[in-house]
Amino acid sequence: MKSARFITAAALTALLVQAPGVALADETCQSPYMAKLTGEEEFVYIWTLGMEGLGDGSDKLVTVDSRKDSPTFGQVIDVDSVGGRHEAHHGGLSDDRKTYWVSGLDTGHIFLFDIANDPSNPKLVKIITDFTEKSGVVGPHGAYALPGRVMISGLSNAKDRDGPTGLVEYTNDGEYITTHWMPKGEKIEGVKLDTVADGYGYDARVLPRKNVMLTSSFTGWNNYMTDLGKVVKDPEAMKKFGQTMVVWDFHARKPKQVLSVPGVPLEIRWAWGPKNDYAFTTTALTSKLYVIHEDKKKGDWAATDVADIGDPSKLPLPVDISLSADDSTLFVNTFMDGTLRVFDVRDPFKPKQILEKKLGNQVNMVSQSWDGKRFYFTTSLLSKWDKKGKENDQFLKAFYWDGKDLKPRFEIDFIKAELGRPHLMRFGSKSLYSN
Amino acid sequence: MKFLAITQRLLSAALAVVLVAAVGEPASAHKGVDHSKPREETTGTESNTRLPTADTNVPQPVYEYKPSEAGSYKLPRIKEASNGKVLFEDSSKGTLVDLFGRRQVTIMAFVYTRCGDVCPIASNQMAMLHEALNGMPELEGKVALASVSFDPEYDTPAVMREYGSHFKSAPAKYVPWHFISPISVEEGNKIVQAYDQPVGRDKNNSAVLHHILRAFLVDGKHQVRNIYSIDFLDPSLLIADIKTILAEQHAGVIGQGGH
Repeated sequence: MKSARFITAAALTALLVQAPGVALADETCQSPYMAKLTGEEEFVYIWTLGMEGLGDGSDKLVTVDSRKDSPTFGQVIDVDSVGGRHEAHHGGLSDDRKTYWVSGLDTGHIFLFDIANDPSNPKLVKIITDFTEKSGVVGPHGAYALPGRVMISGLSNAKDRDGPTGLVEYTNDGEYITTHWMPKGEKIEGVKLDTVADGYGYDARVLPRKNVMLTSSFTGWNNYMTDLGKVVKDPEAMKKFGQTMVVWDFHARKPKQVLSVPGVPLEIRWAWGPKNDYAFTTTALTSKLYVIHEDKKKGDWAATDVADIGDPSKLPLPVDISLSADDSTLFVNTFMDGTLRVFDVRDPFKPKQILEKKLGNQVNMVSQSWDGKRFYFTTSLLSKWDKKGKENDQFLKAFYWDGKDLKPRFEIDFIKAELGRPHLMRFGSKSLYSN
Repeated sequence: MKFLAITQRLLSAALAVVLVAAVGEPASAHKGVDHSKPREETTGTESNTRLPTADTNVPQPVYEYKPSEAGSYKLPRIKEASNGKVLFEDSSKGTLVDLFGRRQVTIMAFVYTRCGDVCPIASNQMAMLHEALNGMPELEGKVALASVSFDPEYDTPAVMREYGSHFKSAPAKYVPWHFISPISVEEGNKIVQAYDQPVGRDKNNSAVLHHILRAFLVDGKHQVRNIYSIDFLDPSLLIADIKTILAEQHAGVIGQGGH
C-alpha cells in the first residue's frame, strides 16, 4: 500500500493538474482544509442511530474493517455506544483528522471521538452538551473542518424550533467560539436577494480560491422530528422547508447573495478542478439537479436547474451525493426508491445519466474512496422518516466501481447485527498517524 | 500596483527556487551538509544551509478574490495563545508571550527549514506580506511576523537566521520578522501540542516531517484571533485582518478614554 501522509488540498489539486487521468477521489463531505491521505482507507466509521428494542438501543459509532487482507475484512471490529438516542445524523473530521465529531439532531449533543491514537478503536474523549445554550442553535448537523476550528451547520433554533438557524464555530478541542445566523428577511443591507431569505440551513461548503462559502437549507426540528407521513399531510408544515441557498464572503463570514433554489437544496459538492468554479446540489422535494456557478458578467452567482433525478412526480427524494475527484461523475442516491443514479457531468450543464441501480428499499448516504474505486452506502435518513416494517432496510453495503457499474465487496445488515440505523460514514487509516 | 509588483517579483523568486529544486541546487548552496542529521550550533554567517525549496507537485496558492475592507468584519477571539520558551535568531532567550506582548498584532507561522513542500510556499507568502508591511510607516511598532520551527533539533538559531535571510525584506523598517526555535525538543513538543499543530516524523526519512500548515494571528492580549491554512495565507487578506485588529484596538482606546 502507498504510504499515507498529510497532504493539503492544494497539493491534491496539483496532483490532479499534473496527472489528469489519475482519479484521486475523496470521500463525500470533505473539507478542503482537511489533511488528505493517499492509499486505501482501512476503516469505515459509521455514526449509527440506536433503534428501540434493538441491541442496547443507543446511538453508537461503529467501526468496520475495510482492509482487504485482514482476517476481519468486512466485519464490525469496534462499537462505541454513547448512551441514549440523540438522533444521530451527521458530523465530520477535524482538519488534522484526529477527531471525528458526530452529533445528535434531537438533543443537540456533540460527541468527539479520538480516531488518531488507535484508528481501529476510536475513543469518546468529549461530549459537548451546551451547544444550544451557548449558540441558540438547535440541531447540530454537519461538522466542517476549518483551519484549527470546526464549523457546525445547524438545522433549527431554540426560539421556535422551526427552520431559521445558524453556523456555529468551535475550536478543535471543542470550545465554543461564535455563531453566525443565516440571513432572513425581504431586505438585508449588503445582501443581493434573488428571493426572500428564509434563514434555513443544512450544508456549508467553502471554495477557498474564491473565498466563497455556500450554504443550503432544509427544515426545522418541528418537522424533522415528526413522522414524515404526518408532515406531508400538513400544509402548514410543508411550507416550512428551505427554498434558498446563500453565497457568503467566507473570510468575513458575511452573506452576499441569496439564491432561489426551490424544493429543499441539501448536499453541496464543489468541483475539485482548479478552473471549475461551480458546485452541485440536489433538491429533495422537486428532485432536480442544480449547478451553482459564477456569473462573471453579472459579478455574482447563479443557480441553474440542469436535470431531473428520476421522475420528480414520484417524489424519489434525492439525498446524499458524491462527486468524483476529476469532476467527471456524480453519484446521487434517492431515498424513497432506494436507488443510485450515476451521471456523467463532464459538462456540468448537460449531465447524462449513465447508470440506475436499486440498492435496497431505502438508501441515504454514499461515500467514495480516495481513488474512486470503492463505494459505501448506508440507509438511514431520520428515525421518524425511515421506512417502517419490512421495508426498513438498515445496511452498510460496500462495492467496487469499475467506471460503469458497482460490484459487491461486502455488506453488513445493521438490524441482524443489532446495531441500529447506519448514517454518516468517514474513513480512517493507521498509516496516516504512524509516521 | 506597487503591491502587485512586489507579488510578481517574489513569485518570480519563488519560481526560481522551485526550478532550483527541479534541476538540482547549486553546489555552493549545500556543499558538505548532510541534511538527514542534526547540525551542531554555529555562530558564523557562512551560507552552509540549503536554499529553501518547494516540491514541484505543490503549486502556489491561488487567491481569486478581493478581501473585505478592513474593519468591516469581526475576528472573534478563538483561544488564548499558549506560551513557550524560545531562542531568537541571535540566540537570545525569550518566550512567545513576551513576543506577543511587544506588538498589537503578531502573525506567527509554524515551519521547518528542511521542508520541501508547503513551508517554502508559506514563507514566500510571509515574505510578500513582510515587504508590503514595510511600506506602511503607520504600522511601525504595532505589528511583527514570526516563523517558529517545529524541528528545534535541526533548526538552531543559526539555521533559522540563515533560512530567514532568504526571505526577509531588507531593511525591515517598520515590521520585524523573527525566526524562532523552541529552546529544546521537549519545549517544541509542548508548543506544537498547545497550538494543535500536527507534526509526524517520516518513518523512512527522519529529516522529513509530515504536517499541515498552520499560521496564527495573535493580538496584543495574547488572544488567537484567526488561524490560517495555506489557502488563506494571502498577504492582502492578512493585511485586512491586521488592520481590523488595529482598528478595533484603536476604538477600544478611544472608548476607554471617553469614560
